[in-house]
Amino acid sequence: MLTNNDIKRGISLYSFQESYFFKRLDLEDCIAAAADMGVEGIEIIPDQMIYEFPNVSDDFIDKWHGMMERYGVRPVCIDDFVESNLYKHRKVSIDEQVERFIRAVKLAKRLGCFLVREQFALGGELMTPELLEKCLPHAEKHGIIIGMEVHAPNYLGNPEIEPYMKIMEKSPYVALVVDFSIFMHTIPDVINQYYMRHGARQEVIDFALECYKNKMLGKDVIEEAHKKFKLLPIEERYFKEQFRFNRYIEPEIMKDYAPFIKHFHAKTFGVNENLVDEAIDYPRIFKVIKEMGYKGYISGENEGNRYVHDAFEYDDIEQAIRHQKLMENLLGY
Amino acid sequence: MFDRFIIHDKGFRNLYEKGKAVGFVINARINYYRGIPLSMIHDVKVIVDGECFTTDDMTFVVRGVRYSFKEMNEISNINWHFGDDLRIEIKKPGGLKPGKKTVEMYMTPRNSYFGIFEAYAKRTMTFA
Repeated sequence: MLTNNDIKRGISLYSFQESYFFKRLDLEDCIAAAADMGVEGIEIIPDQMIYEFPNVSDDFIDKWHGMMERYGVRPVCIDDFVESNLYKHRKVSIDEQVERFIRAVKLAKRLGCFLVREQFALGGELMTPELLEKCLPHAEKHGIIIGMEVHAPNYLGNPEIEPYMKIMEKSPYVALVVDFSIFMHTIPDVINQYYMRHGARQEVIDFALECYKNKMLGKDVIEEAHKKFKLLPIEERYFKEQFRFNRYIEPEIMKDYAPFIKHFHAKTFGVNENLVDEAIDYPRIFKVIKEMGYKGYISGENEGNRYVHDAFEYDDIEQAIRHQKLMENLLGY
Repeated sequence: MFDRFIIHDKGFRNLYEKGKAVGFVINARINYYRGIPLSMIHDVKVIVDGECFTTDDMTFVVRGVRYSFKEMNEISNINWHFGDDLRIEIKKPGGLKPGKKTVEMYMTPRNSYFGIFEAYAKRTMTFA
């Protein structure tokens, strides 16, 4: 449903990956489902749900815009991935990466999106500052913003993002996409339950949650847990993964970056029947977003399916309904 | 992610040429949350009742076109789509005998984000 609201509800079709994978929903079904939930903005990972990708025809583009009109939604963002590991026997050169970026920007433009999401290369091989500088003129030429996604374990306030901020200060065509994963104040229950099904002990999980709350560092936690419990291999994996990949910072830090934030991924690992996310404080985050004077989309991104496949079928539709309802309650529409 | 579902129970049957079984077919699905270019399929292994087949024994069918593994390694502009079958034709003179089989699969994509990430699944399927 199209509105004139400053803050608009969106959804990343990523949230429907479970239904798409098992062919319960196709692309149009996902968009229809989003429309049912009163969603206004559509975000898509092209190589997840555009069958023709990377050779996307004009015929598909026509159909896409037809769907946007029929369901009363707007295209917002595509999620692109820098690939340096494209070939088995050689690395991709920076020029080839720029070529692939140009392909993404052109696709975003054809789909009617204003933003291409890219990933920070913190010690990795994703969008390095050097590559970003080379991609930027192409984004500017097509009028598309490059949205650098701040996702756990990265965080706002991390000195490693400074080189990127310098580029952002020079051009409005580079911005931040904040993923709510950086505001995870506890380890989601769906994850704890997964590890407990595989033998992790309740008292070990409780200890981990206490350490997480007290912001202890991963290395110290594992050492202490080992002393206390003599960890089982599954428990060790739990500590390693959860203390390495999760992050909590105070949502108020967003105010320091407000001019640069042009999109949000409202991450969730699950919204309960009372429409509460017990790991991410949505009311507090939304309060800050409103106080910032943010104008743009908040795209729901539901990731709870990762930890249930061993035990039960995951209902991504029900989760998306609850998640959107939670955001609707906080926005008032 | 979708590790548990990489072995699809669809079309698990022998492959014939001129009335003779020359191999068998198994369909795979990706373990990752998106599709990948063919070149990013790093390795595939299929084990049927303990007998191991490698990419040297395999021909892959994507969007109706057949490729050797070597050919796929160089193809970065054609994707194995998320949730779609990767049809794997495996050479085995005489094919497999019909009936219950224990099937194991290692599906190993590669990307910048995760590096090389291997999925393993095992299931019992009835071979047609």
